[in-house]
Amino acid sequence: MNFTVMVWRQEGPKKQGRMETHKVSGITEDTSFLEMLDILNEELIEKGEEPIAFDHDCREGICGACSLHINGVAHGPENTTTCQLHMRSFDDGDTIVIEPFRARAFPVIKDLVVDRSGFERIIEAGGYVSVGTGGAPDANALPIAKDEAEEAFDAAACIGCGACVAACKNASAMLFTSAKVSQFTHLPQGEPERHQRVVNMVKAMDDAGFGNCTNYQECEAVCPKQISIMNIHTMNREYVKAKLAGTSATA
Amino acid sequence: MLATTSVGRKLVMAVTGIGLFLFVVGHLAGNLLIYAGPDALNAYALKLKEMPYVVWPARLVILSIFLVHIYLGLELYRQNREARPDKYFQEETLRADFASRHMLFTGLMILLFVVYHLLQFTFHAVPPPEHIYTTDLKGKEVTDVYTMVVQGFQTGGVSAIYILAQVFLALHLSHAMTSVFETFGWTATRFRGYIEKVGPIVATVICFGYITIPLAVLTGNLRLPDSVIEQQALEEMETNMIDVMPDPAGRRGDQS
Amino acid sequence: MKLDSKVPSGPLETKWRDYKRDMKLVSPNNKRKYHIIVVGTGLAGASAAASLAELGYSITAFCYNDSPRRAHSIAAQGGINAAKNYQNDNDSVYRLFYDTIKGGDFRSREANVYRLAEVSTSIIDQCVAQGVPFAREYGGWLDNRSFGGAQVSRTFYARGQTGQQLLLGAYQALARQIHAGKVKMHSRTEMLDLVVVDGQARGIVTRNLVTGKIESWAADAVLLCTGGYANVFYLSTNAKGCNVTAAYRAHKRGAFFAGPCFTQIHPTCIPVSGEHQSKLTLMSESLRNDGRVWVPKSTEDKRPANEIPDDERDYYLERKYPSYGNLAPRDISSRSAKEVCDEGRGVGPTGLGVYLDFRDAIARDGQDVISRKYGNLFDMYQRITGEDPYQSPMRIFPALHYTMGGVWVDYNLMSTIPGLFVLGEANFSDHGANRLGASALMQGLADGYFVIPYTLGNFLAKQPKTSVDTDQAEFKETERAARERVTRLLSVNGSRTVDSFHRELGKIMWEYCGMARNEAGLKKALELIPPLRQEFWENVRVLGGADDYNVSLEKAGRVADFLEFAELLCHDALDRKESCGAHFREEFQTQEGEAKRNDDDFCYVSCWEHKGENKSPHLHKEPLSFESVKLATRSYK
Ligand SMILES: Cc1cc2nc3c(=O)[nH]c(=O)nc-3n(C[C@H](O)[C@H](O)[C@H](O)COP(=O)(O)OP(=O)(O)OC[C@H]3O[C@@H](n4cnc5c(N)ncnc54)[C@H](O)[C@@H]3O)c2cc1C
Ligand code: HEM
Ligand code: FES
Repeated sequence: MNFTVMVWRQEGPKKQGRMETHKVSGITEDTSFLEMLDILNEELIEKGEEPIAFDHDCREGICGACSLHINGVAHGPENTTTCQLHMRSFDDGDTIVIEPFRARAFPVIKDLVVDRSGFERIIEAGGYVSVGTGGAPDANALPIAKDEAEEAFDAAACIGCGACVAACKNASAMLFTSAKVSQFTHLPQGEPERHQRVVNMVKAMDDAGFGNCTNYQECEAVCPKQISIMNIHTMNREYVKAKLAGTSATA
Repeated sequence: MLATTSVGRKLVMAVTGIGLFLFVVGHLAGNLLIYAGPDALNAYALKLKEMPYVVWPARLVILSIFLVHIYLGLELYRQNREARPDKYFQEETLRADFASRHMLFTGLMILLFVVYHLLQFTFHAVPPPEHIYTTDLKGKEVTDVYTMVVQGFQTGGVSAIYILAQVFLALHLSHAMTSVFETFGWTATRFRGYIEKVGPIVATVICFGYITIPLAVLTGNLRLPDSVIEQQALEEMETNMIDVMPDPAGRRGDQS
Repeated sequence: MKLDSKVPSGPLETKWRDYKRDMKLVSPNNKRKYHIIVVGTGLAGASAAASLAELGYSITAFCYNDSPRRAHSIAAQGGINAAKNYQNDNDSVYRLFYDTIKGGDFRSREANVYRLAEVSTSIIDQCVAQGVPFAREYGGWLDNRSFGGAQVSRTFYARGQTGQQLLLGAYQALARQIHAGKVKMHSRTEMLDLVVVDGQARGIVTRNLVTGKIESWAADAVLLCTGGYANVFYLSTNAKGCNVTAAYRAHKRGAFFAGPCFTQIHPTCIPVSGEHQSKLTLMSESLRNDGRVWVPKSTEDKRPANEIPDDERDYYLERKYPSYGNLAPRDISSRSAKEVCDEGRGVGPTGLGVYLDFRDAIARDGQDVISRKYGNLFDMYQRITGEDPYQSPMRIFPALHYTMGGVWVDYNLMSTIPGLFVLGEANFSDHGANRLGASALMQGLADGYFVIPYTLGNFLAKQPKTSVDTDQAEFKETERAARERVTRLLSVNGSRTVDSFHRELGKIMWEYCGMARNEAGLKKALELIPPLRQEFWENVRVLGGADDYNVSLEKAGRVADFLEFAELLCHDALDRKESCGAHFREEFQTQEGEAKRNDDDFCYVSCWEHKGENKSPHLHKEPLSFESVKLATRSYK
């Protein structure tokens, strides 16, 4: 298969970027999207041009590192992670447009690599149960209804890739943030810090420069782990409750 | 302040939106009295007028809700744009419908319409109608709102603007009235399908309710009261007469 | 140098308890004054950093990923073992200990393994308290399954994402300490070297992967939690960034490297589809419960799988191992697959694959049942290969998966460099020559949550606190060397890409030091690697600069270390003239093709000392004595 690849090149943070066009040829259908870029990069290096930088690590759809915006859609046409996308999803001769995930909160580091540390700040603000090592009771001392545990799991499956932010017309991080809030809302372990958690995490989300939620549902449509927007609703509800209880953000 | 956080802003947006929605519903209910005949509508208008201590505070509340909603709507729009300073070279939309993507636009169109609507029917600054009639309601001389409305809509352009505005309102509501449930978190997975229909259904009903009035007028199903028609005919005659009677002293006699 | 494993005296069952009782403590308000460096924030590193910060130590942590949440621990699917005996199936600490020792083919240290089994139960408690959503039964209690051929159900799991959920738990604990200011986290920062001052590990040199800045960090102790080195084979189930750099650099600074040849191969991975292949994907072994493994009987048979009649198929596992059949252990089924492919009977475009066929299972149980059991795996297979495993059999092939070898550590998890502790997959401690399924997660968390908080305190409290400064000559010198290496890599400006070297190295390793090894092959590898390394330094092309985000440079540094480390691995494999666990030397097998262990001559841990560039490493032996278990031979016929 042969493709024309239009790819975003940007030398560094705050530098001016541009789209660059390359041809790749002789790609087999079984080649993964990132392998196609590997091949292109090898060719670039051989030509003396710097390879295209992109984030990736596990290449099996679980670490959340890969983050390309392909043909106008976060992670491309298959509703998986970029690394799980294969070239058989494209037609021979296609032009493929590759861009970084774009958001103020995700500044470009280089080419297609962006800085997603805003997500770190959100989790740091309260995405946990404050339990120290060693003080835990026996694991079976706390039975949890299977349904609740399953719902908590559905939310916990988030891989933090940032596709939700990339797809949202407002670059909002509500799906990411709410998935963590919601996981702990479904679990008794999360109960004691329930109010403070949601208020602090929302504040951290805002401070990181993400947009607001308009309930577009674009996030859910691209999420490779099918995180549901119901989590956002849960978070909103939790937020109202926390506010009614008079909770305000602690730094 | 609630409106200093993203979720808080949306909550305020939703609360004010619901306030406006209630007004829209109330207003529609009032308007629909038109089908009960001139007296019903006029009586309703009179009643409102006779309770200034209720109406004026209510107006103030609605106005401030409206202003807050507009201000925050603009603010959200600005923030959301700023959250993505560099646009995509190619951007597809998978789920977001037209209505959700044009909330500010439809909102501003509603605003424009509201201003026009007030100028037309409340301040009588923009015709039609040219005159505001009064009518006799159980012995009282009152403003003939019924006639004002019917007269207004008899002009095709006015009806068109009105209908178009209702379409914008419908678009706004079709996203908004589902969105409020989500904003407040009044949802559950098993109700999701229904809640996603609430907006479009509510929007259609409201829109339909409002639109029937100009349609009824245009199709002749809502007509001016006979008394007004007579009066109009009379006036017309008078104006005609003024036109043809430059000299009441004797020309007529000459002609005959 | 004499190796001292520092195993406490006393009966196995109470060693750890008694040892803890006698440990020295750092007083609470002094802990803050101790600076600890944690390199790597996977399960081992994140749990250690969080736990130590909770205790009050000042922690600086590093990882090469853009977030600690992306460490390769995230990819573990199957589960985590713990001797909870929740199923009342007569599991116990002793049984888990015994299974682990036996699984490791008696090449690990009893005391460490016992402690691992002992703290395993606390791990589950801790994780549940953190909100890790383990699988539950309808009654709300934790669910278990039997994993990797264990006779008891002791594996806790979270769908097929156990590693992810455990890592997120540890990551969140870490995030809490970052927020509290007790941990300074440096993501996208790679450790390039270890700084040793007066014989003690006192700091590291790092490169910021975004800005290229090379920096020194001083501390009272350094914890390496940098994961395994399976990527020395280029293709493996590890993440692309997994590397040996940190461990190998420490090795070059004096830490002994133990059992590098103990590398585990997983039998059910998706085969290589072509030259472009960049990594291999593992599919749960549970597939072998219902799938039948076969290849055509004839090398000439190139018909599509479904057109080959039963009597022309060779169900070789069922044939060779009638009682275990398709469930034969990982190493046996891996080697058998290699054998049939070597005979030219492999299937698929590359000839490196065997069929895993669900035809009979679907006919027997119906597609529904099969899909309920394995639906997500079938989907994954289809996504990657584009083939529908309900219609035609899957193709599988073994792949490098896990490395039991690592930096040698004593009972305290301290290496031969005082002050340098090594945790998780990076160390050699608990798995011997072979790791049991669901035990790596357990070990990483045991090390981080429940061992290091004690042994590190004991180490610090036992010696006077001295201070070091990154202005000291040792730091400056190490930093200079790191900088020089970067400059060197950038200035070669040859004609071959870094990846092409890595691929070539991987092929050598897989061919001669992979599933089955022999003397001639290993010698061949030892002949091939040095010239390749030399060519690398003369002909590699690394574009771009030192001062920005430079992927090629990053990779080049790692591949350079793999090119040296590969040799060490082959030396070890050559030296170990026995077959044990995952290390299979063709010269040492029973008539039935089973691994033949040699307890008389090889019942030791091979600990390699670095002797200088281009010099052969020196072997030290830590003898293994077994007091509580009897050495046994396994049989799967
Ligand atoms: C596909 C797969 C499935 C598995 N399934 C299971 C299972 O079901 N059960 C089980 O028990 N085990 C399983 N394992 C094994 C287990 O996941 C790992 O052994 C374990 O998670 C390793 O944890 P770790 O903390 O030691 O290392 P990792 O999680 O690999 O973490 C390494 C850390 O070190 C950092 N790092 C590495 N090098 C450097 C450097 N030079 N400088 C700075 N930072 C560095 C990385 O950024 C990362 O943070 C599986 C492994 C794989 C690959
Ligand atoms: C009768 C008039 C109006 C009604 C009934 C109404 C109602 C609503 C409601 C219920 C919402 C939903 C809030 C949510 O998502 O939870 C909303 C959103 C919105 N309204 Fe209005 N509105 C009206 C007029 C306006 C006007 C005049 C503007 C002009 C600025 C406006 C701008 C917006 C915007 C931009 C949003 C979307 C906010 C977002 O989600 O990003 N609306 N409206
Ligand atoms: S590279 Fe890990 S999810 Fe894609």
